[in-house]
Amino acid sequence: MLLRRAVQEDPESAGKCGQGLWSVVSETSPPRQPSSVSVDLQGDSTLQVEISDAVSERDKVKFTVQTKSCLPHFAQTEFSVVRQHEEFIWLHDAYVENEEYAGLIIPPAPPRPDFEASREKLQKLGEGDSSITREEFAKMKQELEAEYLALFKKTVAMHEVFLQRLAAHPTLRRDHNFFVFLEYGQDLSVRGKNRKELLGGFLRNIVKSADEALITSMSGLKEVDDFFEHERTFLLEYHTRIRDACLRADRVMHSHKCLADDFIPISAALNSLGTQEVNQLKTSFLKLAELFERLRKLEGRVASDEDLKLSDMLRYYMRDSQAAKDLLYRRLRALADYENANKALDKARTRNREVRTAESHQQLCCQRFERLSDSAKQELMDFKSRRVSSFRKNLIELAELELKHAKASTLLLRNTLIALKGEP
Amino acid sequence: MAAEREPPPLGDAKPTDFEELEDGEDLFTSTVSTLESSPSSPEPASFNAEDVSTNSNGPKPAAVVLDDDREDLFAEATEEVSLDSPEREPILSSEPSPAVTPVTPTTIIAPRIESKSMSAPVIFDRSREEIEEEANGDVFDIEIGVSDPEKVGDGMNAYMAYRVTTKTSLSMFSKSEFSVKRRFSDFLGLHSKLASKYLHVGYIVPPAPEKSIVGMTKVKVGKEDSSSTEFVEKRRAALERYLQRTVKHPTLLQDPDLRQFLESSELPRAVNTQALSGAGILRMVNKAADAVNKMTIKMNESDAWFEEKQQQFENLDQQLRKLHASVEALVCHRKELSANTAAFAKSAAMLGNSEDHTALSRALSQLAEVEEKIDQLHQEQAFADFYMFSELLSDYIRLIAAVKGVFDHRMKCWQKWEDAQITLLKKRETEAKMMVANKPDKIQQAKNEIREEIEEWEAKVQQGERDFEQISKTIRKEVGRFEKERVKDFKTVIIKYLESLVQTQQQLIKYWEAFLPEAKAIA
Repeated sequence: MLLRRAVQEDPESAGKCGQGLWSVVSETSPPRQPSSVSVDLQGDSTLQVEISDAVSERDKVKFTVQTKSCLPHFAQTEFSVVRQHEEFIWLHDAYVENEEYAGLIIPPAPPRPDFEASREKLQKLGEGDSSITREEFAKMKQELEAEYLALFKKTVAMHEVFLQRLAAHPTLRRDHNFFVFLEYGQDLSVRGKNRKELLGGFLRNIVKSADEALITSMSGLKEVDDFFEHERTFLLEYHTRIRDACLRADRVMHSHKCLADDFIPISAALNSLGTQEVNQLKTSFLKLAELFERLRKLEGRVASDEDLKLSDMLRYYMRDSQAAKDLLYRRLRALADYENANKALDKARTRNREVRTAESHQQLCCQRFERLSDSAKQELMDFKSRRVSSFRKNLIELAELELKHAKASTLLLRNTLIALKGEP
Repeated sequence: MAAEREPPPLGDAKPTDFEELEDGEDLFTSTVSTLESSPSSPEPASFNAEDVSTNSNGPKPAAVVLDDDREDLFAEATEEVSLDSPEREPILSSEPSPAVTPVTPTTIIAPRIESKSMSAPVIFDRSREEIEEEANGDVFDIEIGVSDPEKVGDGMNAYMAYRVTTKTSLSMFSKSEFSVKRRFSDFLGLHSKLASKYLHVGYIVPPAPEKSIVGMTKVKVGKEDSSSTEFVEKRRAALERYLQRTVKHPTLLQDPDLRQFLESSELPRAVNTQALSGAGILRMVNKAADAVNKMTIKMNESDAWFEEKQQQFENLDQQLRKLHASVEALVCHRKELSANTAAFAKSAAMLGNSEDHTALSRALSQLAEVEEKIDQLHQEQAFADFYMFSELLSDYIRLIAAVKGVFDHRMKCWQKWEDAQITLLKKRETEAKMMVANKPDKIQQAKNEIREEIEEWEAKVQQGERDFEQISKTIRKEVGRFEKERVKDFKTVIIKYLESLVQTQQQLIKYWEAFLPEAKAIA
């Protein structure tokens, strides 16, 4: 799959950042590196979704979603639309609120594209620090631009994975809203949540956790299934720990980046020293300057690989495990409803009033609960196998990349040592 | 022949006196060339002049080179010589024989004991064989180690005592291996003595490590945490480097104060080294006064070499400071990386514990172990970053300050000479006026007085000129030696540092190679 992405900046903001710091960078990336979360689309040609293009504008990102499908539902076999982040969130929420999918793990929504930090850094660089040389400035700018680009690629990947998981799921892919999202040429007129809605969402979460706590403490609510009992305890602990691991992996990555950035002024100072010297140290310093420059690039790659293979993976499964937890909550809610319906039925029977309604209600709750349980079981097992294979793939790739970089560093260092020892 | 020759008294010799010694030149001319190829460290300072003259752009008459050889022999002073005393005691250390071949006569010169300001004449009497031994082998066969810091005493009067171990085959020491206990102020005292004797005549005396009130207070108070152990280790390493640099200096090595420091079990406490003592305050005042004076001295530089070198050192200083700041940031970030890696390792272990898929759980635990080992690696690398790279740079920043100081002393010397010349001129004018005026009765006495004064100042002017030339020559040699040392130092440390980086990478390879099959084993 070839992806083409263009990174463009508004001419207005170019002026803001001064001196045309933002250049039009058009990039044809090589066959895409599989993201840290892979969705197996092999053998499924009925619906293929990808983000073929993305443009970053001042405060929003526009994704071009391309669909290839032979499903009769669609008007064409190949078509594209342009979507923004809010529309993805709308789609996600639509799934979550849909009762039909209560028994499924809803793929976690992609995080909001946030380039603020990166932009600020570039702006600060642009404002200029006169103590750094032109070369240093160019290198730092290069670093920041690479960082921005990496961030951009990541956000595209996150949005894409979200869609691809939906497309791969036998039930979720048939959702009407999904079709609309993929096909409807116009803007979906979905505005971002305003403050009230955000607050509402926040409150809903609180209510949900309170409810959950209430349900679990409800007497008489016995978990009948060992499987779910185990899953609950497992997921609760797992989610907390993976969140922890993700945060700390982020910090490690950040430290690596700082280290790589430190090599820039070191290399520059060594260069100046080398050019000034008149004795044998001249070549030594210059070689050392070059070494640090190369080490910087290697260290930078270590940082970004750790980011992709470790941090991102942990982050994704943190979100996914949250989605699994949400599923468990919904099932528990259904169980509680079922229990309540049972109690109501008993009451109705003793009072011999509205037994029919109570009976049918109880039936419904029972069916719902059982349906949820069944699908939840399947979903959770899928979650496990997905998780295991993803971790496996990423850990292997991480180890291989670390080895590659360490070997490259060793070679570089050895060559420099030979050169330095060789001279008188 | 050499043994019977009497050294000319430096005090009142006129420049022409040195011409007499030209016959001794031959002794050195041949050896100068042979020494070019000998290892850098054991050369007596004189031969560096040759190197310097080829490197510098300033014109240097050949005769001066040879005069240097002679003068160096007389330059050793073991007594406190104040700036004002024109006499410098020619205490002679026998230099190691300059020639590699044993045939060249050695320069054993009996020291002449001047009655004036000498209190402890030290006679270096060395046999021919010893000198040849040293000349043939590694002349600076002296190794200094500073180790075993231990806290002595309690509370605010506590201090750290360090063991200073010397291993040497030099005969000037009574034993070949010995150690003493010294505290930090002893080192400062040593430096202060050496500086007062040698700095103002142009020798680059290595600076002692810096005081740190905060650091020491922590140690005194008895905080047994990692920051105070780090502080003590940093200081120990710095003291070791300081002594190593000092003994590498051929002139300073001969100094009896240094020997006493290394050898004697009891050392008089150096009280004037405290920052807030009377002497300390006087030092600060003098430093300030010096700084002001430096700004007002306008020297007519006749020798472009000095201007060039000063500029060079100025640039070097700036660049080293920049590099040092960047390396300090590197050390800091690497330490952060180490801490963050350790934290991640713990959380990975926890995650592995929660994971219910057995193979994945095991792999995650393995990952945690790998990360823990990597954290150790980062810590060690941070130490290497610091102790090799960063400390080397900070040492040289302070060394260059000493070099600048020596150049400043030369300026002061010049100023003194200038002032003497001006005063002489004034006196001559006064005399001339007296000649013209005609008052016979008073005049004779005044004339005699002024005549005396004029003679006195003429002598001062000559002395000033000699001093100035002397300090200029010494500086040239010193700078040459310093640069050689610097090149060697940097090269050695750079290589060592790079090797430490290679070590780290190789360990990383080992760890990840061990982990890879574990990751692949996840089924």
